[in-house]
Amino acid sequence: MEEDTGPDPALSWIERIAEGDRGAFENLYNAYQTRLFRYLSRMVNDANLAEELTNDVMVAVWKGAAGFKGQSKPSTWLFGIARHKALNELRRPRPMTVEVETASAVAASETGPEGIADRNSVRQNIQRALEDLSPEHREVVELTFFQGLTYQEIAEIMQCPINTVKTRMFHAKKRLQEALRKRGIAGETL
Amino acid sequence: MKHQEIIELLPWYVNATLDEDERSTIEAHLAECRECVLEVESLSTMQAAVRKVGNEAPGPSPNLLNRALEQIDAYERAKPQEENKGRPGNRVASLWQGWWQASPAFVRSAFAFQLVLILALGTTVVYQWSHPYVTLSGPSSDQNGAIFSVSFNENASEREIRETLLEIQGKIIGGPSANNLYTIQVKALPEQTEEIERLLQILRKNQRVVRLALQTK
Repeated sequence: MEEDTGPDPALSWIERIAEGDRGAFENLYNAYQTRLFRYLSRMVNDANLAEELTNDVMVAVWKGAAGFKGQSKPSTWLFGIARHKALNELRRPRPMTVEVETASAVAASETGPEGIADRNSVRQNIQRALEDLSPEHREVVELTFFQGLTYQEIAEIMQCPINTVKTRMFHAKKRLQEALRKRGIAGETL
Repeated sequence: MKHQEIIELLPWYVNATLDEDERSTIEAHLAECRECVLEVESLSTMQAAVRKVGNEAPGPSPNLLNRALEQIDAYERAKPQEENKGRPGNRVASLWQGWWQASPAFVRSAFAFQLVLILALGTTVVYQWSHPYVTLSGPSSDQNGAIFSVSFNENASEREIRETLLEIQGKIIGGPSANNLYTIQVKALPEQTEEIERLLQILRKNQRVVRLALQTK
């Protein structure tokens, strides 16, 4: 578990949001918008939609702040809402789109070995390795390594038992390690 | 903890979110297990790779917050009026409940005692209003001015009371009652509601001298 570094300011912001305090809302928004946006971008693979969903999450926080009783950490609550919204969105039928970034990553990987040394190419290779994972595996990797959450929090967000989180991570890391090795990505290339 | 259980926890050892017991168990295991040391190195590379992708990815638009605030405004405008009216009341009730539960017993007792006193005083005032105090030999007024019931602070001096009465152009025509209430008549007529309200405000703002001021006629 994370070390206790004092009360999470998000707790008092949520309390004040429940009283209609817009300043507290802006504080919470600024603290979480990038994290939520990146998590949602990975979930729905669409930057515009991720922006829309980020705002949907924060508006849901405005509406539901009075109901937040602090049983979970604010980050767990926020990511739980984000996940719920992303899954709802993914269930809706949508036309197939290819993200510009993904398209350029595909193009870069097919242009030859010289691109691999390029800084952007390393990132694109990692991106592709992550995209090769199943959504559940990618999510647990993202929540652990990018969002820095505990396995208990991840279980709460993903609404599954702790052992499922550990098993998903066990398989995800095997696949990701293999994919990174295949693409020649080691600690020193990062 | 078995080797397999340790392996399963290593991702959260690397992201530094394990509790103290788990962390020390793993560190003791790492001192003896080469395989787990290599696994930690590999996971650290993986974490750096994932963070690199995340940190270098484009962020959200800068005006996203404004859009959220607009959505909130639209939501607040669309909310049914009844809900708007109800929410602050619920909050006050909730705050009150929280204060009551959090206060020590003596504070609650003192509060309850004061409440009883206020109720008793209120009851007396209402009673006196509906049953005017009349004596055959008592002072009478040749005017039809409005009547106030006023309670003065015990610490107020006679001079302060006199000055206050001059300010409202009033005179004591009765009292004090058992509850220390004086009956005061002012020149303003009862139907001059704005003037009556102004005089009552003068009395109520002068908290150093006046404890309570009500119009009784």
